[in-house]
Amino acid sequence: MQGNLSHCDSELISRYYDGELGRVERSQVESHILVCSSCKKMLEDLKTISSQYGAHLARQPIGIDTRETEEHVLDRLRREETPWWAKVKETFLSKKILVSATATACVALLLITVLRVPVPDSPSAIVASVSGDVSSIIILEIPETRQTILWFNERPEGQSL
Amino acid sequence: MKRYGITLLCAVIVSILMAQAYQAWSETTIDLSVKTILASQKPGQSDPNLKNFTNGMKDVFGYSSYKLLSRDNLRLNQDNSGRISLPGNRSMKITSKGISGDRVTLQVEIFRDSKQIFQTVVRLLNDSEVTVGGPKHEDGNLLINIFASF
Ligand SMILES: [Zn+2]
Repeated sequence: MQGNLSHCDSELISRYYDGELGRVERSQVESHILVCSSCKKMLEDLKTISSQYGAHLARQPIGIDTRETEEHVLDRLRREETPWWAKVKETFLSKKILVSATATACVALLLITVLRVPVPDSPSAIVASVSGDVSSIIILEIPETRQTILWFNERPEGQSL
Repeated sequence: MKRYGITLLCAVIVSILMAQAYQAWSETTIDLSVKTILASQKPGQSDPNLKNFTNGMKDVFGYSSYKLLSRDNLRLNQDNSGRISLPGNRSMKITSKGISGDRVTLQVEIFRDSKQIFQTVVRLLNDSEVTVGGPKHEDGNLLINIFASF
């Protein structure tokens, strides 16, 4: 990322929201938001959803170990080409890199991804809140069958907070 | 004669109220079918009864077999809870928070060694489902599929 932010970068926006960016990237995002309404909206959505669900969500940071199953999901997602999955992939990848991101931000972002999907009818399952003494939580919706899956990785025995 | 009329009126009002109460009660009764499934990488036959369930899953998860471990039916009224046991000293508690609009609100909790490790609140349409997955068991992971009708 050099010079001005020439394209919309949702990962960068979410990292900005998480307070992960350095001074240069931060100011790039700030000036981009002034001229780009969709990125501005995304940031606002992040704020809204996080404050709406924040009270219910786990406050523990996500553990660093992403386990094999999560790897597997990610691997599958990487191979998918549809825009929907591309979006989810983006989210997962950015979250995977940012191990210090909180569960709140992760879930909020995924909720946004789900809410933004242009679907013909409303989803059969709406996840209003999710939390737990777990190392990570993923919310997935399988497009063809419209199944909603909440996937969590248990903390290994004896490691709970 | 006036007295008789008042009694009749009271009887009508009482029966209307009772009918409404019954309707409200039956409206908030939710039937749940909970399937506990073991998904694993071990090659093997998937349960044919799980075909609908696994069709979509196969594209996302790379599991080679899905085995139905147990199936439980729960009938819940508003603010009622039901509990099912899961492998590995775990259990799941489902509480109905009532129906609003076209959706039922369910709180789903998972306990391990009687300590809550996961909870979620989901709002489901009639005859729809949600799946909670992740806990490790044997050589795979548990998937718990909750189907609600009301
Ligand atoms: Zn933009």
